[in-house]
Amino acid sequence: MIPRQNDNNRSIMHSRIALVIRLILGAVFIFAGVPKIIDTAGFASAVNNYQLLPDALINFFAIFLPWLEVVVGVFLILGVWLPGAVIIYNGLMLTFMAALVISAVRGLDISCGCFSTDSADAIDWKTIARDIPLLLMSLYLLFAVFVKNITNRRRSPKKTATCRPNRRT
Amino acid sequence: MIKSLSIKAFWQIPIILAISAGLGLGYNALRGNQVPLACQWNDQAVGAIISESTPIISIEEAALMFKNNKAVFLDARPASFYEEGHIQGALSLPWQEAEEKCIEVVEKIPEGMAIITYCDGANCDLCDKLAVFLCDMGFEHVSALINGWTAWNRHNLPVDTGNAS
Repeated sequence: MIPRQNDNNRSIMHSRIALVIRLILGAVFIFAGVPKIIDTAGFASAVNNYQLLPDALINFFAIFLPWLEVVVGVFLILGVWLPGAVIIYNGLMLTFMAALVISAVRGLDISCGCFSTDSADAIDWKTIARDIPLLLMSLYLLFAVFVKNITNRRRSPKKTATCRPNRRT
Repeated sequence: MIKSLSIKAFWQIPIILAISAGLGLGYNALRGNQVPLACQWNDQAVGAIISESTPIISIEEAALMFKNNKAVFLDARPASFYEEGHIQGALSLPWQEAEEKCIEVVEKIPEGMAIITYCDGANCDLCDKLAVFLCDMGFEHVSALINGWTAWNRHNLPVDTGNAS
């Protein structure tokens, strides 16, 4: 009994932590995506400055990425399609980190284009450091969804509890 | 458990990507000032996007001012690029060091000369930033030559190498 109780408490704890993190990360992506949707041209210019994408893909990427951020952010907050949304979130965070590190190493003096399209928001090691807690949180979410399986527990904790005695008899 | 979740993720990911692409393209098609999908990132496109505050100068105009000796060119790229090659007579004022070096460089600019900032690649807005910076400092005749180094070479205009001038 006691270990199971502990287990249950833990899974409740995990899903609560995951809920808080989902709200934070979702809000961050929505907050990051909206200014880029408003100023797509400015964001395209920022993407172009990274010199990582072929010219032909830059505008499509600039049109597509902010919406992806917003959609994934909304899904995280609402708890919709978490497995898919969480994987995309992690993929995006890793991609952003890689792009920032590559640019910093190459010594490009460009604007980040992270939370705004303002060129004053230049890349430096602080921009990269800012992403680390976000990346850690999204990795935790990956763990919570795929290992701790919070999506299933959240939906029907009581049903499984009432089923157990039935199975035994 | 992980397996069934992975299967879920497997179909959810492409759908999420498709929804986002659909929203993005749809919104872009409906909005007033839409961004062209297949835009060549050439000089004009970037020039149009980058700057509202600084005049963009065309390569022809810049070449004319160069021939008539009416303008000083400022190289906004890092010093190493400047040493590899720069517009003849241009001064090096890397954007990264603009604040420290500007006074030293600005003293070398004869009075009454226009200033043209340039860097390299249509995808470089250093020259534009430098031009804005100089404007803020109170210089009047500042303009930016987008994609300057490449355009200059394409027109076979005179260049220098090394640290001279």
